[in-house]
Amino acid sequence: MTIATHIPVVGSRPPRPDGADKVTGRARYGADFSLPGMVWGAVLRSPHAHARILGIDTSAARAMPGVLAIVTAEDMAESFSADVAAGESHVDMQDLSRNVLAREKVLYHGHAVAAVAATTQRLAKEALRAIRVDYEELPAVLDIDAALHPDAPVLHPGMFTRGLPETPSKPSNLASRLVMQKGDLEQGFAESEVIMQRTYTCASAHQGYIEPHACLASAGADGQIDIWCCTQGHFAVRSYTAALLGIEPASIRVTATEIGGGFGGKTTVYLEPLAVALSRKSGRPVKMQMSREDVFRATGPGSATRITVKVGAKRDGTLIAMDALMEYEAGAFKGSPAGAGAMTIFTAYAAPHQRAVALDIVVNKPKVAAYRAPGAPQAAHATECLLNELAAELGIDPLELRFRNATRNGTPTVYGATLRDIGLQECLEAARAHPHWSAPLAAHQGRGVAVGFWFNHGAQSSASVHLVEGGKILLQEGTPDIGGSRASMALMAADTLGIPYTDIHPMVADTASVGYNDMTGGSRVTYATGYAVVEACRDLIASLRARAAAVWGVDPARVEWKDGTATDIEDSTHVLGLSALAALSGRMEGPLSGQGAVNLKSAAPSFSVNIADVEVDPDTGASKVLRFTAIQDAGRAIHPDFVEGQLQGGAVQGIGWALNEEYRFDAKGVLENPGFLDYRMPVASDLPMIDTVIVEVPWPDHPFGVRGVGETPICAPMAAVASALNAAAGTAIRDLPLSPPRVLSAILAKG
Amino acid sequence: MAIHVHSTINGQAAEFLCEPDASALDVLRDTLGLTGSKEGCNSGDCGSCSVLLDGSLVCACLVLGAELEGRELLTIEGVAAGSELHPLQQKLLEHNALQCGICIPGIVIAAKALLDRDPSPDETTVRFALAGNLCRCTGYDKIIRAVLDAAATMRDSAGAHA
Amino acid sequence: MARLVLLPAQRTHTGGVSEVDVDATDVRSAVAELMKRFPALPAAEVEGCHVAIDGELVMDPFLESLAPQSRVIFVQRIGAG
Repeated sequence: MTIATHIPVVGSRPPRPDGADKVTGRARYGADFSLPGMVWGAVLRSPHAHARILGIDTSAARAMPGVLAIVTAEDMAESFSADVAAGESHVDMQDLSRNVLAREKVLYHGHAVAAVAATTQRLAKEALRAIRVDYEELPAVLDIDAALHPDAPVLHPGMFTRGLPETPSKPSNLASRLVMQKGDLEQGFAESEVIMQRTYTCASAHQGYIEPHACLASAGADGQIDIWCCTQGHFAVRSYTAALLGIEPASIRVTATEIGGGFGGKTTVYLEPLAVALSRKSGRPVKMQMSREDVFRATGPGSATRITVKVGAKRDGTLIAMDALMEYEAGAFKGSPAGAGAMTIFTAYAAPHQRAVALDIVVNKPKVAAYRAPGAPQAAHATECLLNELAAELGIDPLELRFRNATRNGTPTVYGATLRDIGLQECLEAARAHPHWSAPLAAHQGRGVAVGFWFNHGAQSSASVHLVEGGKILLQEGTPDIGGSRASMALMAADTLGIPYTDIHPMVADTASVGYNDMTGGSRVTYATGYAVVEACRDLIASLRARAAAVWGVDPARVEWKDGTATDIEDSTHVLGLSALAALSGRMEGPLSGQGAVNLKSAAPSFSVNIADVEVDPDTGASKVLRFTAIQDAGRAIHPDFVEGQLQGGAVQGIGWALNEEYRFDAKGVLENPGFLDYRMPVASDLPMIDTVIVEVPWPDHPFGVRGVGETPICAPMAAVASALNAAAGTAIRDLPLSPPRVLSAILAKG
Repeated sequence: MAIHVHSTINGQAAEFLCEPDASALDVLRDTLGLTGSKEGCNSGDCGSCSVLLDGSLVCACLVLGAELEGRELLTIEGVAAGSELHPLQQKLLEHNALQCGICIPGIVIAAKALLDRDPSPDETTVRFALAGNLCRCTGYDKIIRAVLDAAATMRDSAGAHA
Repeated sequence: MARLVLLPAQRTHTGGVSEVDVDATDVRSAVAELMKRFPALPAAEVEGCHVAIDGELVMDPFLESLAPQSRVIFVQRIGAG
């Protein structure tokens, strides 16, 4: 029998296994599921940005025909044993519970107060109108300065700032102050020949996933609960829902539907606990979906920020001291990504003296949620824009300034880790060599360059592989596929087992069908779930070799597994492929499977360099991105099309945040632009092709050298675009977004 | 009072009841079980509910269900011929142009509407034709390339059969 | 003796002490000794922190082993998207 040599497929670009369903409309997303007897849930939301809840009267609503159940905070658990360690962060369950359904107070316009289940969507909405809530309106706090004012209204009477030298005696809206530093700043600035300080602001931006949150929950009479929802982490949905409602997690089975975008915004829960509570009360399956308006008003965007950066350098551009004050809006509950911002703001640079002071500030706006490298894009905007301004002042090429100061392997970071096996140098070299860097520019056109960094996550993943009759492999993994990871898992499994890519059938299994998995996020799936998949395949291979040895009556040490086939090193007539081994299972020890489970405690950081060309119309302030090049270290690109896709998608989110996207609130804290018309995300006609360069500096701790790529792409674009626009217009605008009115006003101001 | 509507959807006669204020999107998704068209905004801004109404590109969320009376509707479910994908669908797969995929049904319909009237669009024309279809994952790059490639493929096979 | 470097938030509960030498061969026992030495330090300030052990960032430390001269730096917990 001739054995076909396996040609390695990692690094190739085959079509994804779920692709046909997605181009034909057959794929089912969060709102595409139904069950017999299903009823509709709807949420009553606060009309005030800040108010005490004096009472909720649901009697009129309950009496309406077709209304089957109503829930308020009274239906949620009162106390929690410990913070739920779900996903990548320990979540404060008191805060999460109150965000899902307000308890003593409403803290933002749109804050959920009650939920109803009724036989039609129309009846559910009418029932909401019949619920009477008695509010005592309170003054709202709507920006950083208002929140930090000594006389500011306090959102949480129990909030005493953490991280100050002495615990304060009075509550405030400053949830915490975090300081990270290395070296001696005073000495550093004393040695500097030039010192530059600037303040940069970013508005809140939403992740902008096109699919609103949606779920279907069905509670059985025996206490078993099924949830179908679009989420980045169905195990986290299980954990949070169980804790919030006081249910045993093992009684809840969550199926992650296909998901229409997440970017961090679908790593928490909003509707699922409500749908489950309504289903338990009504005895019917309950379907809920958010309107686009609710998505904007009541789900978490990325933080608005004000960051002041002060840099000291020698005249030759060598950076000596870097200091930042980072003020982040957390929204209504503590937990902005100020800490992550502090970890990333100066990490690309080897300046020996660094300090980042990060403030987590609550305001009467929706509680922020993770948004792709949370905290880092705002931080990179500040540092990279300032470095470009410094380069201009010193007469140094901005890319040369990066070369002169780029961090290298072995340089300690401000947060205590020492970077190793990084690819920043390689990314800078790729930028310098790229034709974009030396292409000519015309009038009213400018170029900007910026560096991005994210440290990435590892965490827990499980995978199983099963040998199916006919010799194909069923691969079960448990991290929702938001970017094509199913294909990457199949590629890694194919190369590990030595079989064709199309022989692998990957699926994202529900919480009852695969071992625990942390969320899809943190750029961890190709890295950690990929690792678990490889382990599962290796486990299967061990069983396959043992099985073949038993068939031949030989010592397993003689059996090799190569090109999808078991062979005997001492007898070339002994050859068994997967199909034959599957067929023999029923007459031997039974079915063949492999398991893999990992908890990767550390992960490989990813650096990027972006180059942007922007043209400005000096008469209107309108701008256009003419050219964009995204260069990033991927370690090893398992499926290059999907790696390129991450670079391109993240770049465009950053472009949108730089040029047009912002949350605009009125004086009462009501969001003025809760829709895609006025929350202006980039469309196809706004953009050029996004050129990409994948640098590969393999991460030695992964079987294929993978490092995460999903988040770093959003870190550098804002500074690259802002620097380019300012160069094109001759302005120095430091506040995002650079929308036409702001740009025009700066052009006119310079006279 | 529910309205009785007779329409043709994806080439098949379709008969249904709908409320006067139900949108065509509501009817497709909740009454007829055709969930391929998506609700991203319900205000005509995202294009994920794009359909062809008597051959013209519209957002199903901006059309009333009752307006489908006597008219022909093409949704994403009617684009492939059985298991034979349309070149647009095939090229989107070959270019790995989709990530989460939620915008793709609308993009296929909008791109089909373009190629039905203009078989040789350039990049700018494609970008403006798809400006009503929001995609948040891809940055549009691979989608544009796939549409241009599909147009070229369709021109070649039209030429081959001429 | 492994050396623990504390976060500013932790130092408010140790009377300003910022570096502590502990006789421990893994993170769990190092943390236990730290808590014993400073009873005023709340568990919430220590549990859930990341650490950098000899330069290597570890997200959820527990039984990671420490060498005699290991340096363990506490890092504030962060999330991702």
